[in-house]
Amino acid sequence: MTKLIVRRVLWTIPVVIVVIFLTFLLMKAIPGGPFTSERGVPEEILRNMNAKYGLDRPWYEQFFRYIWHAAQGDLGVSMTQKSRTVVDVIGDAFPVSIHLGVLAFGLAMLIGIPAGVVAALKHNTFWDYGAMFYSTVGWALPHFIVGPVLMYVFALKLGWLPTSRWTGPQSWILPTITLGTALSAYFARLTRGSMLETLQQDYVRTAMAKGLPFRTVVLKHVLRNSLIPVVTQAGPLLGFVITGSFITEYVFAIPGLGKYFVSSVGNRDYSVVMGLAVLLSSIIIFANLVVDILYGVLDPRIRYE
Amino acid sequence: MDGLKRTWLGVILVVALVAALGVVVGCGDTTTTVAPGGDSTSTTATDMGDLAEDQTLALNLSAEPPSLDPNLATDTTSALVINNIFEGLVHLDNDGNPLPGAAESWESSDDGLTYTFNLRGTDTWSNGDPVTSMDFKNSWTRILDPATAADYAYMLYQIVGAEDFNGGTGTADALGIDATDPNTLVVTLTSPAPWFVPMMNHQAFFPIPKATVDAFGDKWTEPVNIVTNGPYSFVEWNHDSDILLTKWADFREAESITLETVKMSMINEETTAVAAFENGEIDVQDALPTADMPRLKQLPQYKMFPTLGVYYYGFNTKQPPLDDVKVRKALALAIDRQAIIDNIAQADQQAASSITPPGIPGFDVMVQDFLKPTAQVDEAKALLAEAGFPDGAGMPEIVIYHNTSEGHAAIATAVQEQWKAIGVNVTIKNMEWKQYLDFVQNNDDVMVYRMGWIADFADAYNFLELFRTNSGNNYTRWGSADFDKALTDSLSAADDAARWDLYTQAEKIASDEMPIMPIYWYTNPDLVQEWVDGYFAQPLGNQVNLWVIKILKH
Repeated sequence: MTKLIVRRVLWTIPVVIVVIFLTFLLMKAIPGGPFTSERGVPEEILRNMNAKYGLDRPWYEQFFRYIWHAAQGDLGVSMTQKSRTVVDVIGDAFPVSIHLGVLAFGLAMLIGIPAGVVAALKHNTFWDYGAMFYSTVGWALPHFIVGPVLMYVFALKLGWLPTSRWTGPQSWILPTITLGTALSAYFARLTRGSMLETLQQDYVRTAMAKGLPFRTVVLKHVLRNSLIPVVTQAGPLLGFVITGSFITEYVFAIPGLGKYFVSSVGNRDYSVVMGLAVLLSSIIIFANLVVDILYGVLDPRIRYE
Repeated sequence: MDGLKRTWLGVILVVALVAALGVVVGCGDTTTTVAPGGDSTSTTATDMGDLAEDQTLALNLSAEPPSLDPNLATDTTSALVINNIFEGLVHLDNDGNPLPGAAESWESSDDGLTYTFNLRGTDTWSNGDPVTSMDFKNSWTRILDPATAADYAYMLYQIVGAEDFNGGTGTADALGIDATDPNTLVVTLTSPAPWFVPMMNHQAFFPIPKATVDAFGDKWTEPVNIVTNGPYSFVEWNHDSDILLTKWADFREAESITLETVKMSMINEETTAVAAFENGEIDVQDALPTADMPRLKQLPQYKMFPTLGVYYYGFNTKQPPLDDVKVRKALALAIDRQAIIDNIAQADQQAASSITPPGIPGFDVMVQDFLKPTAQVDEAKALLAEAGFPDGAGMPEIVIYHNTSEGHAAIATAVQEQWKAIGVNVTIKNMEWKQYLDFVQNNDDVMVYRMGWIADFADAYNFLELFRTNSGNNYTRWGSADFDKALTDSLSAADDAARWDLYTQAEKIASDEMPIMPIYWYTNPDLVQEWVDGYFAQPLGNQVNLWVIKILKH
């Protein structure tokens, strides 16, 4: 196990370097730069700005300097927010996105998994159809519909909650529901499908035939085995959710990381784009590692040497 | 790559989002009673009994200010904060006239080349240091230093030696900025600039506390480090979330300032911000969603402020058939500006009859009626026939380019319809903003492009100089020696009347040759709670002097 973890962590390094390289190439390929502006900025000022951010150097030098600095934890200075480093931006915004992501993810598991279990156990009944209706609608409704509707009802009409911003527990509720709904729908569907498959397995029939209580069979045999595909999906999904949901954060004016995935490219803020690519790829790799470890816990057949 | 893929997906979603939000929330609230909205004058609370106990204003800043360093900020969001925590040599009144600020008085030499500013000698920074002429000299030297790499360094290029120093060929010693004594600042210009004194209200010219800047580097603008000299103290800055300002008790005129606390939020999504406004969470919102405008205009809290800006379509004058001035004129005459404003832009913009917008000094005496608010279809058709395209026959297809945005797309579609009426076929293409800028600036294939200009300083020169031959902002590939000469002469004009006459000449040349087709002059519609007294968004940069605001009982 330790060997596995060490190996996987070491693997992260070349993967992240490749991600940086590809991001770097794509960034250079799109037209316009950080200082392209509607104001015709004099040549000498452009030169000064390019020099300040090292953009006047050959591309390979820029690339290797970036790797060298990144290795020391320096992801550069934002080219748009002139007093903040990329580490500052991530340090301020990432915790908010993690907070929202974890809340929404927790809500999604809390609703989605039980809903899927009930739907599978009561296959082809009202409960099943109800749960599946919820999961279809929940998955299909975009955040930019759910968010404003919730805001309109609970803030504007009923006056129970603030419309937006991230100022305390009350303000967490609407964004959490907005982001959690679609996720819970996804989990419900995934859990149901996996449960139905597991219920057909011989060992389940055996367990039932042995006369084990139904509850024990479901919890110890069926559910546990059914969770493997759920966990497989959940890891990377959590990775994406905690790095910020652009739409939810935008609708509710939440100071998270989500908007930077859009604004940094729009602004050609090269250092922030690169920083986010590094962050996101590291998190996805890490999430997959956690998933692999969880497999071992859930299923003795998947144990690593 | 996931990040990038998500990004493009995000861009697409934003467009859908904006459309969807407009529908969802827009159709919600029923209209409240119709009141005479759009009134920009405010009542004045004379009686102290009218004032609320809690003098707090919640203002939505809409976005994280990119920089609060006066030398580095280039946007109006940052400027709104900077203008209230720092103090420049002058303030501006609501008509754009300079009022004494850090400078008690000023005089200019007869040739208009030397300005002398007299500081008070009693003002201090928030750390107790005196505000001196050196603080200004340090600031101006820093913004021009190539190592600072300041975008707005060009605002100071009219100062002797500035362009050379900034371009790396001159030295700081050669700058025409002299702190002759702690309270006297003497500036020498390369050519007369009649707008120089009001321009001192621009953040680029604000003083900086050099010791603090040197000590903390990029982090000097954080609340724990910052040293300021303006009416408000910079107390809290939670990035991307909120900013807190409180009245600085030791400010020169603190006793006459009523507003104690300003809470600035950063709600970027306009529909959300309007909801927050209607829910009483914010008192001021200055960006309103177009889709909701018909309803918002009826609210008693709706206020309209003038703003110095023009929305226009440029023609690539080297690209046939747009190389023919008759075609350009025909296209400009075919536009129904008022219909575009009434049905699409919807914020009571003014149909532009020339480049320079109202509110600019001299506007009233300058001849401006070159274009009509409504379409002159017959004249347009006649011109088109003269150019060899009767009813558009044989006319190559025109391509309109705009940067991706719902609003620009709607206007482009209207223009397409209106040009169709004179027989001209149009295709519309849009691009992401920076890609678009790169395209119109560098690609000769561009035909018709949309652009806007918001004034850097309140003078027609700032608008007209955009279209000088080979100006960095002139993407029309057009140039006129007469136009350039009128502008150059205007700099040394004997008086304002002579200067305005030269501007009129330049406008006339531009309208005769029509390298660009102005569509409308911008306005600035805001929502302001009725108990906020004295709120005024200035035409130049929509700046707000927070210190004149009072919160009434409500």
